[in-house]
Amino acid sequence: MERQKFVEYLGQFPGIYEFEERRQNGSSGVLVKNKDYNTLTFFSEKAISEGELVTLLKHTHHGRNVEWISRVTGYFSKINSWNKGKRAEFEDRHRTSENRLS
Amino acid sequence: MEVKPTEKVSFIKKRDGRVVPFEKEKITEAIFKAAKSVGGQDRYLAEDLAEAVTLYINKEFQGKTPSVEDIQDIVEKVLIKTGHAKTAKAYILYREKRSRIRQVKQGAPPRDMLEEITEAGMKIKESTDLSLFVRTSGENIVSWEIERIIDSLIRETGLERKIAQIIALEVEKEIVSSKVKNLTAPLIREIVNSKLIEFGLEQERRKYTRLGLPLYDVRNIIFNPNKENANIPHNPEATNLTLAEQIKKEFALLEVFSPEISDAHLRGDLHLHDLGFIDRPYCSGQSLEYVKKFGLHLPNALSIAKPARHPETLLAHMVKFSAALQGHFNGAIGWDAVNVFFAPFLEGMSEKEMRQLAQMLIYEYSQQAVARGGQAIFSDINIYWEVPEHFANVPALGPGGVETGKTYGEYQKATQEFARLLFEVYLEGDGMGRPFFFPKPLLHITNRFFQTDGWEDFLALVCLVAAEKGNPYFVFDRDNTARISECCRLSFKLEASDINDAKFPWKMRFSALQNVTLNLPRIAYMAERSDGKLFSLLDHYLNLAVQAHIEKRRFIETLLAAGQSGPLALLTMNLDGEPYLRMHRVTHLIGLLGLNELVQYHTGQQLHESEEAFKFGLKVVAALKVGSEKRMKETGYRFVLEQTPAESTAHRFARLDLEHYGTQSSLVVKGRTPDMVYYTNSTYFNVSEPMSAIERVKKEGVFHPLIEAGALTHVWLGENKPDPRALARFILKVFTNTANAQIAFSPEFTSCLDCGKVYRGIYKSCPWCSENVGGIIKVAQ
Repeated sequence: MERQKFVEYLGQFPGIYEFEERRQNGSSGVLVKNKDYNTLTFFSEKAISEGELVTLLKHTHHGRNVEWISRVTGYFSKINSWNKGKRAEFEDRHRTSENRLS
Repeated sequence: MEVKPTEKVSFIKKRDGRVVPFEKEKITEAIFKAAKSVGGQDRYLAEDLAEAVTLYINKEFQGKTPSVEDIQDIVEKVLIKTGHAKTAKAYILYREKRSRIRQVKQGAPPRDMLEEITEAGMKIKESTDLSLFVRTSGENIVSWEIERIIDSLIRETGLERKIAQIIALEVEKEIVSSKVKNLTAPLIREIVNSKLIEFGLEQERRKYTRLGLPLYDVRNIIFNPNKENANIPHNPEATNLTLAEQIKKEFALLEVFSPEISDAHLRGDLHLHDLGFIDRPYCSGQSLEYVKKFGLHLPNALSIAKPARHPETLLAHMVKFSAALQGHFNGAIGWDAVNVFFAPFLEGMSEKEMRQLAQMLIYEYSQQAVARGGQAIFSDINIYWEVPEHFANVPALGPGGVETGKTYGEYQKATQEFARLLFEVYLEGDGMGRPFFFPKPLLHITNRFFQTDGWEDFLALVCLVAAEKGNPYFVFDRDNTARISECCRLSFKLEASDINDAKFPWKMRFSALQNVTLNLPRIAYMAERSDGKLFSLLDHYLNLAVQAHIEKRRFIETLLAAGQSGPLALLTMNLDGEPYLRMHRVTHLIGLLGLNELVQYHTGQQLHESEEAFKFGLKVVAALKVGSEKRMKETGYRFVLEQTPAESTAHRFARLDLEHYGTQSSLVVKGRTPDMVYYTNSTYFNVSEPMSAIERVKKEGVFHPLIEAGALTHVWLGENKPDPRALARFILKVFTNTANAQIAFSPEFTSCLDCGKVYRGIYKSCPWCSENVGGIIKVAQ
């Protein structure tokens, strides 16, 4: 996509993105801060021109847009919705390392 | 110092004749209150004056018992003599006011009071001219009318008109003098309540309570996710549910339960589960036969569906009926022997068509998060490899709800095929390859299971699903026990009469009315390591739980009594000679929580640490079982022990105990203080203890036969993926060599929402998406 359009899009959401022009590893480009994920991502001019908006934005997540899933008390659910006690229990759980349970 | 105990006054006589201990503190309070009303702020002075009053009383009464009036006379004298004329005046006025209210309440108002009320009546007429406007809860802006307060006080609290008039006038005075601009109905009610307190009308204030939430809380609920229950997403339907739950919870504590029970809940001695769903029973397990035989014929429905003729229609009926039930129960909706009862509809279907139906069934339930409160239906499907003995000779119902002429035993092939396909769908997982959250598949392992051809391959498949995705629950029905399972581990053990009902499987519907969980660790703290005290406290709290059950039962019975025009019409529908909810068969659950911490505090060792601690744990659970059976005989109601899932209660009890029993609970509470704390669930062993899987299953299983309403052992897998063949041998071993009632294997997953990949184990970030790619550099942060 066009560099100008990319920057304009980011500019619409000042609550999430901040950006500045930057040269890195010998190429010019844009350094983007994503406040939701607390990340910094450098996009070279070339990467921007070759990428689509949705893909570029996903790169600012640094792979942190993940959900963890396990069994809470008697059913599967997303761990980010567990209460503090269950979160602590989750950390404490002894996981079996046996390949052949016996 | 010379002490003359004989001269001291230790008791006073109240107006109702009761003799109670003399408390100086009460005099301090009364004096300070009077002083504050005329601008006083010196509490120490009030204490000094109360001391002077006490000396005076001791001197005057020489150890005899003065009346309240005597004491009040002395307070007046002391205040005047010590130069506190203004406070004395306030005190005298207050006394007079109280005395008048008392006289009115006793139906003998003094003459001048009667005149005052007449005068008040005049004033009321004048006051309608007051140029005040009230924003009502009925969405209207109306002019101030004092009669509205009087009427509502009479209607809601049963106060006599005379007293209601006095209160209303006081309220009006307050409003006028405060010059409040934005007058709303809730604000007026608060002012009325404060006046009721001032006049000592505590009972009436209770009846006049407004239920609801502060603006701040409502804003939080609308903006932030609910973390009490991991099965509730965050959307407008979900916030509706949370708001409604809040109000019904307050209603339950104020209106349904006695103050003794409500306080026990609020203190955290016990936990009344799902108070926000006070007007429904807890959970429901039923048979597909009901839907097959009667179609969808629900009270107040917009249309009636005759019994299904096609498998897809039967599935649609089943799912819709589940949704209807979800609106009438607060917890799980379980279905018995699903693959068995589907079988007569499956004959002649190709494998492809049958697989499609299996997929539809699982997706329909797993994607119902658009139903009540945006909450998925907590659904369970019970699955059998063999046709259970109690259904084998029962005439099968087929399309159109008519008998096919064959018995269920004759549909074994389709029964097994459908079971296999259901597990194959579980193995695939959802569109991203993640495990399905609902419906939970419960595979019943019985003696006949191992005598039915093909069990080895089938068990291998289910164990593969367990290792890969974790879904299956293995329910062990040894010898001739039969159950229907649901919820997090709840099960209904079928009795002789139920097996008899199996001839008419649509009659097989079971419900638990409520779950009340005991805070076991707290009982240990209170018992101070005395066996005698511990067991008598256990008995005491068991009695409280029983009382709580009876109180909820009475409430539900009242709702049911309204029949087809009542709120629980669906549960009273009668299509087969008895109401859908069969009250004679409902159970009342006594939940256990924190046995490990009870034992740890009481004996100094956790359940896994010594044989002695383990045996003591068994003794406690056995005592509770014996106790609940005794209550059952006395009342005729079924009280059964359950391993409470306690998703939020394990945290709540731990938090409350750190607050109220800090010294004791900090020795045994698990997790990390201050707030990441929990008690070990039910009768479980410490979750962090590195025991082998079989040891945990065996030892925890010793408790299971005592816990009739359901028990479960978790084997936490994490990222480990055990060999499925070994898992199958493990299941056989557990069935043969232990008393364990149910096990489940729990893997953990990381699911990336950006690229859609699913990983076994917990990752902070998706390994794929966190890589740098051409020209895009993820700068470390």
